[in-house]
Amino acid sequence: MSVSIEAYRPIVGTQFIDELYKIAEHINERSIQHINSTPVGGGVAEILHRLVPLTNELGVKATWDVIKGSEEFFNVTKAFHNALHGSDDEITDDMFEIFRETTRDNLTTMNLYGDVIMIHDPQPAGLIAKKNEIGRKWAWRCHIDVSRPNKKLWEFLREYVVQYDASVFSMPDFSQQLPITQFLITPSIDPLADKNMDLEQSFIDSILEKYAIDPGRPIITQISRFDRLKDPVGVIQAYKIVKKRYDVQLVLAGGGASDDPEGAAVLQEVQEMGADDPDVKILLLPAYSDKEINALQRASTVVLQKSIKEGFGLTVTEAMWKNKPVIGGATGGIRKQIIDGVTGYLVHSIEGTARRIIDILNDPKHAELIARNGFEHVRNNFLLTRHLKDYMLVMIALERDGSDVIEL
Amino acid sequence: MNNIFRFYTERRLVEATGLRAVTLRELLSHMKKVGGASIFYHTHASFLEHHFVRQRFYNDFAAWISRSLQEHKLAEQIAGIDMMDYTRIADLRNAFIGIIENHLLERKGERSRKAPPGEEFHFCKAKNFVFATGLEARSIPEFFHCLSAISPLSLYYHVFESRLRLQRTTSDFSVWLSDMGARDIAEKISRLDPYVYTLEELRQRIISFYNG
Repeated sequence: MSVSIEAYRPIVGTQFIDELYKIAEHINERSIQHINSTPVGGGVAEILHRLVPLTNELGVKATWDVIKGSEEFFNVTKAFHNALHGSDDEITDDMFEIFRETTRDNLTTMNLYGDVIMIHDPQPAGLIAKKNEIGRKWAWRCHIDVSRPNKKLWEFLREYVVQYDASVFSMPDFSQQLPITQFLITPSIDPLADKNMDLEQSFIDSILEKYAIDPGRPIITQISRFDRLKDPVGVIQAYKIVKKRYDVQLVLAGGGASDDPEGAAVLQEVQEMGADDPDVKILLLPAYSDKEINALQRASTVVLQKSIKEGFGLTVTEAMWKNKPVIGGATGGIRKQIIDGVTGYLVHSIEGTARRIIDILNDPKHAELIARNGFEHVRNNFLLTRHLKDYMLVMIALERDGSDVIEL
Repeated sequence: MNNIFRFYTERRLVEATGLRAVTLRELLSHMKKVGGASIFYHTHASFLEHHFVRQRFYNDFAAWISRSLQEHKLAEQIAGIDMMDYTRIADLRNAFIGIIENHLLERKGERSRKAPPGEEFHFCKAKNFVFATGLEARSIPEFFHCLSAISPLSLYYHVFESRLRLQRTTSDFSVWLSDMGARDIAEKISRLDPYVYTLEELRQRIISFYNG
């Protein structure tokens, strides 16, 4: 379903939407072609589904194409993804060859026509080989945390990246020493998507009923994959400290872990830890549960994201958008979003997490203030419309000289 | 003399320079070689962010030295530089360098502190896109009417960018108001230290010169 840019006017303000139209005027009929590796699933596809029609509505021609690849290719790029995140997965020369082969196939079959070609993530990065032949302006948009990448793999990818006119990273921590411009554009959430839109109270109530959660008692929630880096075990331990004196419930909800043996082990561990407590709900949600997740976040008294390592942490953004007090591990993008004691609480330990939960339970007025600040912080900095503005500015920057001040 | 004051505004894209510091010496070394746009960015970016409480430091260097290196005295000295004394980024940079070099001299022989992992200082800069808001004033009352309506970014552009980054000695507002005969108000704006206010407070303060 396509949502009009006008629907965002009451959310981000009329001045901002008018500015988007003004910036769009300066793009002068140039077009942008986004290319990624999947039409559905994952954060990139989710964002492009919304961004592309909105860009067109502003009068800037935007299209979106997807590369083709075999299962073998996507297994390789999945290993790349993990290794760029710093995992120990071995990267072999055979993998590089499979990557090159699929790149060659796509270079033959794909139509590369945008005035600006924005390539998302490593999978289609090799398409840059066409630049010498067709020209155009090329940007490589890296959505993943490459702050500590596998060295061999990064050297391989770097050969492609340096040929681009510019790169885009989500945070300065992810940027690299590169001879090309590195723009910093933080991720965003769509306030009108199923995951974030306003919900009827009756729908929220029905979800609580479905999972036997009591709306009359405080609800502590963490939404995340069952992954050690999200520390679900630490969340349960923090809950247990609080539970000694407070009648609270815990909801740990996350996506499936069928292709991830480590995830399955973590899930089993937390299930065992919560087995003797009916107030601990471990929910393994199927794909496309966005509205349910939305409802669980909205029903919560406090939302946790007690990560030990985190990229940006969009679940924090989502919870703040829903006016919830958020407690987050002091790591990665969570530190960018939570100003400690102002837009949420940053914690470093299980004990600290329990302490902050208790603070929120005991001082709902202060919790309300923090939640309101968090909401404003997201409204000003982390919504889709800001992302749209940034991409248009990248289009302009690529066409102009390298000056630090561009007069439109 | 131009009778029309056109209000401009700006939007920005932040760029990473790829330079990062873990210790004070690394910060100093990068500070010496990084472009002026990066020095400007780290002394001004914070004013543009939406703040819920008054910040202890609006200067990124001072904030990092305090938070991540726990060198509180040095942080206060860096933040204590009177920005209004400078109209050139090069001079501002030299002032920071002088303070840090003195500090290192005083602490000679001591082990340097390291920022914890994940708290490195990343040198960034901004690319600014300046465009007309469409608001124009042809008289002094019109000017103040517009001033109450412009976005904080527009106010920031005319007060901060025009003075230091574009190397004018005063803000755009003072020049035009003086040309229009409102020398008293222009003088008050010129004497104002915008670095001690939030953008909203600054707007109210300037408007008060007209109403008061």
